[in-house]
Amino acid sequence: MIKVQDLNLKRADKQLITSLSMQAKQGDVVVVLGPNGAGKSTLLLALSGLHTDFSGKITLQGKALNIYTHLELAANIAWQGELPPTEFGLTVEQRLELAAHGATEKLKQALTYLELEALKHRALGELSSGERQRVEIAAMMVRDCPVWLMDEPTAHLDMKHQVDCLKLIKQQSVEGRLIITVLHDLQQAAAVADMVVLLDGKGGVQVGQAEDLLTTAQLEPIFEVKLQGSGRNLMPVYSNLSDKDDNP
Amino acid sequence: MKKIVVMLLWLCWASPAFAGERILALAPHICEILYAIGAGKDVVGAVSYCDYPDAARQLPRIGAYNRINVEAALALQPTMAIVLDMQTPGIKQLQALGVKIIQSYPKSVDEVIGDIRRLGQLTGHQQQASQLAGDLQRRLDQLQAQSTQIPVFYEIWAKPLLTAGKHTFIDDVLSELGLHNVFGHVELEAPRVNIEAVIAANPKVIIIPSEKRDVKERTAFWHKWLGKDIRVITVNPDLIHRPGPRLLDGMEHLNQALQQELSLEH
Amino acid sequence: MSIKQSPWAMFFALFAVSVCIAWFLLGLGEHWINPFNPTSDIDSRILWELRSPRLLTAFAVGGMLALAGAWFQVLLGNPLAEPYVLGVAGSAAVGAVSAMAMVPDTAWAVSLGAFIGAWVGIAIVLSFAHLGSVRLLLAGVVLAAFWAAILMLLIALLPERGVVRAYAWMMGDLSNSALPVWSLLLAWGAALCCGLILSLSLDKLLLGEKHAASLGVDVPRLRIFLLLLASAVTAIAVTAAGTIGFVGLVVPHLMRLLFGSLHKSVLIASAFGGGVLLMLADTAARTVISPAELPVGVLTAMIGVPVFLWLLLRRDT
Repeated sequence: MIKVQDLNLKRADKQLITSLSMQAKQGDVVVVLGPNGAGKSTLLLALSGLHTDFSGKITLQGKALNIYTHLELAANIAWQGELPPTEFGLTVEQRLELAAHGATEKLKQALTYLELEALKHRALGELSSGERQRVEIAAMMVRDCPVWLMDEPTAHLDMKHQVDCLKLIKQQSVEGRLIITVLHDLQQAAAVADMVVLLDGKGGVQVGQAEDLLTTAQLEPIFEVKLQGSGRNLMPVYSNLSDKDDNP
Repeated sequence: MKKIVVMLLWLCWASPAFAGERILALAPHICEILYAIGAGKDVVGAVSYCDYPDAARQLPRIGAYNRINVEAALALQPTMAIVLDMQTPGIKQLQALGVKIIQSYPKSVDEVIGDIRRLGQLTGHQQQASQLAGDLQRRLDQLQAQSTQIPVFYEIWAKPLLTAGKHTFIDDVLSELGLHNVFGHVELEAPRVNIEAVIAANPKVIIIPSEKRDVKERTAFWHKWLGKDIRVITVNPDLIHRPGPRLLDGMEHLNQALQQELSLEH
Repeated sequence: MSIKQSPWAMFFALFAVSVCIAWFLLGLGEHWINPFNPTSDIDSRILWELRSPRLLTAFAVGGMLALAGAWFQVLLGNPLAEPYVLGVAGSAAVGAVSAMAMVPDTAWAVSLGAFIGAWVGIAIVLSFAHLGSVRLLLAGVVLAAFWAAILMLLIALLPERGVVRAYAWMMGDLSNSALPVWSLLLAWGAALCCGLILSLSLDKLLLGEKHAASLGVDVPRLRIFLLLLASAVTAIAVTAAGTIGFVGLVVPHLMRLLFGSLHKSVLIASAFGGGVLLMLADTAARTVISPAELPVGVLTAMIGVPVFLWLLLRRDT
C-alpha cells in the first residue's frame, strides 16, 4: 500500500535519513524507532504529504503522494502528532466534528472508547495533556482512513489508556488498517510491531521484521543504553543509575 | 567743551544698548510684527511659514514653531529670541547660553496690540511700534462701534467639522467684531461639532478660512442644510488666524464682506 | 444555544436585533426625533440624510473591522491579533496624512491617499506571507512601528492646523466617508459571504497548520487568500472612517464567548456585533458632550478596553 523507494529525507538543509526503502501493506503495524532528532517525526510528516523536502519516491497505492489532491490525501491518510493549540476555545466535540465530516456514529463510538463522553463539551484548553492526547486518538478513529500515522500516541497517557491505545492499534490493524507509529517504549513497540524502521540518528536506517531488529545487539549501539531481556520484555536497565560511566 | 565730551560719552554708553540686536523671530506673527515696527533689519533668523513680508522669506530657517535647531540658531549669533511658547524645545538651551528670551503669544486682539507696543520697547523701536499700535487701536475702535450680534458659525475645518470654542483667538476676534460665535460657550479649543448642532444653533453667517478649501462645495452644503438665506463668507486665514499687524486688515475685510452680504438681503 | 445549529436562523435573529437597535439610535442626536414620526421637514431630513447614513456607515465599518479581526486571529494563530497588527492602518494613515499635506481638502483626496497607503502596506506584508505565523506577526509589528515613525515625521512637518486635522482623521470619523453607504454595506455582505464559504477551513486552521493540512486544507493558499481578504476589508474600513481601534480585537472574542468558537457562528456574530458596537459608540460620541463630538476611536477604546480586560480575567477561571 505504501511504498518508499530510496528516500533521502532533509529538514532545514540537514540530511536526516539516507536511502530508506520500505514497503508496507494493509494490516501492517510499522514502528519507527530511533534516538531524538533522528528524523522520526519528519519521516511521518513526509509519509503524510505534509513535508516535501526529500528526494526519492513515496507512493500510496502506486501513485506518488504529490499527485494526490489535498482532499484525497486527507481521505486516505490520518496524521496525529503534536497537540493542537488551545487558544481559541474549541470544545472536544467541535474538534472531533472537524475530523468527522458528519460521521456522527463514529464520533459517538470514539468518545466512548476513549472515555471522553463526560468531557465532550469542555474546551480543549481546560483538559490535561493526557486527556487532550486521547482526543487526538479519538480523532484518528473518527476519520476512519486506511492509513494511520501516529507520532508517539502513548505520550502523556496514564497506564490504563496506554494499554487501551495499544489495544486499539492492534485491533485496527486486524481490521485492515496500515498503522505507522513512532514509539519510544521498547516493550510497547514489541507488543504491536510487525515491521520496524530503525533510524540510527546519523542518517542510517534499517528496515526489517520486529523479531529481527528488536534485540539488544541491534538496539544497544544505536541508543547508547544498556538493555536487558528480549522480545516483549526488552527494556533499558534502570537499576544502576548511581553508577558512573556505564556504557555497554 | 565739557558739554560735547559729556554728550560723546553718553552716546558711547547709550548706543551699544540699541546697537543692532540680533533677533530670532520664532513664529510667523512675530516676524510680521518685527518688520512692521521697523525692527526688520534686526531679524537674523526665522522659522517655517514666516512668509510675510517678502523680505522675511529670505531669512534663514532654523526650525518650526514647535521645534528649534539650537546649533543653527547659535550660528546666527542672536542676542534675543522671541518665541511663541517658552516650553518649546531648544529655548532653555538658548537661554542658558545668554540669549534673551521673550514670549509673544497673544490670545486676544487687545493682546496683539499690547504685544506690538511691548516688542517695540524691548527691541528699541518704541516710536514706530507705538504709532502702529495706536493706529490699529483706532481701527479697532471703529469696528467695535457697530455691534450687530449676528450669530455666526466659524468653520475651521469641514471634515471633520471643527470650530472655535471659548477662550480662543478666533472667538475673541469674532466678539471684537460684535459677532456672536454660536459655539463660543463650548469649553474646548477646537471642538468637533455635529451638523445637527449647527442647524439647531441657527447661525446667519458661515465664515470659512479660504486656504485649501473647496468653497463652492461648502457653500452648496450649507445652503442645503441652513437654507438659501445663509451667507457664506471666506477669510484669508493668514490675516485672521495670525495674531499680527495684519489682523485688523483681516477684520476689516471680514466686516466689509459681512455688510455687503447682509445688505443684499434688503 | 440551539441557534448555533442554523446559520440562517442566527443571521436573521441578529439582523432583527440590529435593526431594532439601529432604529432606536436613529432617534438620538442633538434632539430626540421619533423615527416613526418625525415632526418636521427638517427633522425628517436630519433623520434620513444625516443620521441614517452615518449609522449605516458605522454598522458596515464596525462589522468589517470585526470580521477582519477574527480572520487575522485565526491566520496568525494569535488571540491578540487585530486588523491593524500587520501595519495596514499605519500605512493607510501615512497615505492619508500625505494627501492632507499635499493637496486641497477635497472629498476624495484624503480617502484615496488612505486607500493607496493601505495597499502599499498590504503589498509589503504579502512578501512575508509565506513565513510561518510567528514570523509574519513579527514582520507586521515591525512594519507597523515603521509606519508610525513615518507618520510622526509627516506630522512634525505639518503646520499647526494640519496637525489637528491629522489626529482627527486618525481617531476616526464616520460622518464623512468618501465611499457611499451602499458600497460599504455591499462590502460588508461580500466579506461575510467569503468568510462563511471558508468557515470550515478556518475551523480546521484553528487546530494548527499541520492538523489543518492533514485534514485536507491547502494551507499556503488559504493563508494568502485570508491575508488578502482580511487586509482588503481593513483597507476599505480605514478608507471610509479612519483608524478606529479595539472593535477588531474585542468583538471576535466576545462573540466566541457567547456563541462558541466555530467560524460559522463567530463570523456572523462578529459582522453584526461589530456593527452594533460601532453604532453604539458613534451615537455616544455624538451625544455625550453635545454640541461637541468626541472622536469615535475614543469611545471604542473606552468601551473596548474594560471589556477586553474582563474577558482576560474571565479566561483565567
